[in-house]
Amino acid sequence: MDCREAIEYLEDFLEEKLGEGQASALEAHLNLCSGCAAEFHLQKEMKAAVRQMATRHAASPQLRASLRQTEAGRVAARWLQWWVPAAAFLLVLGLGTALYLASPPARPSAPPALVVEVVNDYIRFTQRARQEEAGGSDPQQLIKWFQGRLDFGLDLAVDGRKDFQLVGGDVSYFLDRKVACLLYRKGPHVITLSVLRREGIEVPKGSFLSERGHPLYLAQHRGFTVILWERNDLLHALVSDLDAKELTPLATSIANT
Amino acid sequence: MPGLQDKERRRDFDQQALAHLDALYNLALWMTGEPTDAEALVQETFLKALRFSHQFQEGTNLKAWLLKIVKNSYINRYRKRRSESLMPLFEGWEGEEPPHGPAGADDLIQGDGELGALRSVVRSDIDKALAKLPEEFRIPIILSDLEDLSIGEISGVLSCPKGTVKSRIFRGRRLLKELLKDYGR
Repeated sequence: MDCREAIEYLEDFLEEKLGEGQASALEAHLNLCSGCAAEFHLQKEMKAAVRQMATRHAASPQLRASLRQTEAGRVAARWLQWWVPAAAFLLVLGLGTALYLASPPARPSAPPALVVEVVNDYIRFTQRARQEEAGGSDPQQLIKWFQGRLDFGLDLAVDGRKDFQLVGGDVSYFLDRKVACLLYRKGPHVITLSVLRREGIEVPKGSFLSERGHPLYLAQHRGFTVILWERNDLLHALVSDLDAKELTPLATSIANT
Repeated sequence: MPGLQDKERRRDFDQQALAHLDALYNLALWMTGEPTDAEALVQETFLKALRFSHQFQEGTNLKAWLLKIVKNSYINRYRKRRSESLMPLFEGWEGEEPPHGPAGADDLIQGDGELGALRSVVRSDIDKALAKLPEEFRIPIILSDLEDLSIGEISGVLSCPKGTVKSRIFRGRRLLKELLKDYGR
């Protein structure tokens, strides 16, 4: 075993995860090589110091309680979602049309998780003091800038329309994955386009067709407009304070390129 | 009945996620240095994870998945204003006695062979030195040595290759040793 291999296996050796053969080969190397032996002792000592002495911060009881409530809230919401309408339905059956007319209006269904999340990200993003982004505003350069920073290929005509000004872009995160986030402006309005791997994320059902045919999904949440579409296993989310009519042309031009 | 099964699965998910709360908070605090920020980050992570619990693949590592969401949310929130090392938690400690007064007997590292050279280093010194480490070294060390994640799991959480994780941990420990030298005398 040489020094490069010894260093390669050192962490597994410290974790006692190395197979017998490799472990004895490493030990033999450590007996011969003072450099690697010194490294081994330093790594072992510091690993033990952190493990035994560094503070592992624990969540406060208040935080734990508040998250339990979130969990309880979710259970309650699911209960309400299923049992209240079911009970109302039985009541209606039993008591006839008069009661049916008097029954409370149906609960509006909760917005899809994806819509909630992209709107939250939009709000957080627009609250930043500086919104000009790392990748610059030149469309070709921006696409190049994203290469190597993402774990998927970005193939978009990002400057689809003259009335929307591309301001910049940056890599951001959505849940457990990377997002190419592009920023546009139209007058005083800010528009973000997020592109991410769809993999496992539920896309809301119900869509409308754009002028040239690519299916788009439209939603409103907290006063913002969201347009979603899928293409080549990628999810695209356009979010803005513009209304749907004003935002659709940008979605159409990007989705159909 | 699929509805019931789904409900049970979600309840299980909620409970399993709560079991990792300390790990999430620990990482969040070692990243932000501020308990309030760390709590906000953990809350955000929980809401996201619950919203997308169907996305989590059963049989894979839930702790690593949640830690990855903490780290991603942290980057989204703080990238623009984070500093290289973690100072807020330790403000005013420089060159002074730690706020809780002199270390008690059980705070001292007992010489057990491994830590012999650092006999006089106290718990707060390790924390201070860790907080001074640049984030790129501090976070993999926390995940490895406080959260017991494997190199493969850390590589998934931080979205970087295993080789990079290993070299950051090694270099981080060397820096840590340098920082502790002064305390150990």
